[in-house]
Amino acid sequence: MAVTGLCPGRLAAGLVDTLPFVASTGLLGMIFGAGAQAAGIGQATAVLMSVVVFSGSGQFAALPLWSQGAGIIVLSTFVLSLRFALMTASMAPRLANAPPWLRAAVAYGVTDENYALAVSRRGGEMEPDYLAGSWAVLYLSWVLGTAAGVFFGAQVPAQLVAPLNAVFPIVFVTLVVLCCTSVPTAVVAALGALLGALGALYLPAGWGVVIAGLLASLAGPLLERRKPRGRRP
Amino acid sequence: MIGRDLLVVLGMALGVYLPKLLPVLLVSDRLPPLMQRWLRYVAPAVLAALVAPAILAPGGRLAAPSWEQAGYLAAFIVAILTRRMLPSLAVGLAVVLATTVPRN
Repeated sequence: MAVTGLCPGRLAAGLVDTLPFVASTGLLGMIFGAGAQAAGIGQATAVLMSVVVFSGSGQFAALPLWSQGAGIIVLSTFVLSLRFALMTASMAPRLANAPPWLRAAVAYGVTDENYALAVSRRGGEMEPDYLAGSWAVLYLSWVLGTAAGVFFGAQVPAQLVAPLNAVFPIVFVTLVVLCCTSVPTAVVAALGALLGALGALYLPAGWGVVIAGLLASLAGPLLERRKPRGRRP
Repeated sequence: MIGRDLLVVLGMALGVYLPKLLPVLLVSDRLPPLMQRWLRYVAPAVLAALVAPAILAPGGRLAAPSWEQAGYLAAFIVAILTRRMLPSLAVGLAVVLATTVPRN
């Protein structure tokens, strides 16, 4: 609960744990950078977007919309980011004692990857220094990948594309397993996976994760109540 | 045109940041117990909901069975058995490499 001073060890742990994502995030950044050129986004604008927006899903969604109105691009980015509200809400009780500037900074640096890594650590503490170390690796990979894609195109050997694309599902499947520490959490995760897949098939982009995450997590306390030996209420 | 691009980038940045920021400013540690219990289940729910489409329905369509999925299944089993990242990542990637590289 206590948010202590910066701990170099936790910063380094965040950095090291994020290394599996370097190549795949860099590749995605490269593909985005090359795609941005094709979509008519200026070189400086594309790099600036990765520097400031720093959102893979939001930025890829902006590519086909770029020639349309500004409002639709911003709205699409917002909808695709709604899942982060669930993530930072779940972190908020642990950050409640931190000063507002630190909470604002941690919120800015939250991504799918460092949230998943932090929450799957033993104890599931949301340490800002761990998140920051992880964020730095993801941020550099994404921004440098974008710059490479913008200026040199997406030059990746074809044999490497399938393994690199497989990193995200493999790591996330593992992290989901690691954060299932009880029967109710495992049931919630299975429900989330089922609803998430259905949402991806039948709902507009962005809404599936949010609705599935919300519904599945709400089932958690109900599952607890049926188990008298569960956590005390 | 440059001005429009800058505005769109700033608008996108806000679109990403506001959903992240508002909960940490609004949710306090004096939450009702039921809400605290709910929030503990958000991580497994939202992470599973995030990865399942990448495995079962990439691109919004139900995926035909693939070698990559065999790798994800292997990683899943190793993760349950070892509860560690590196063995799971190594086995999952090995399966994907072994089954996809020869095809290229």
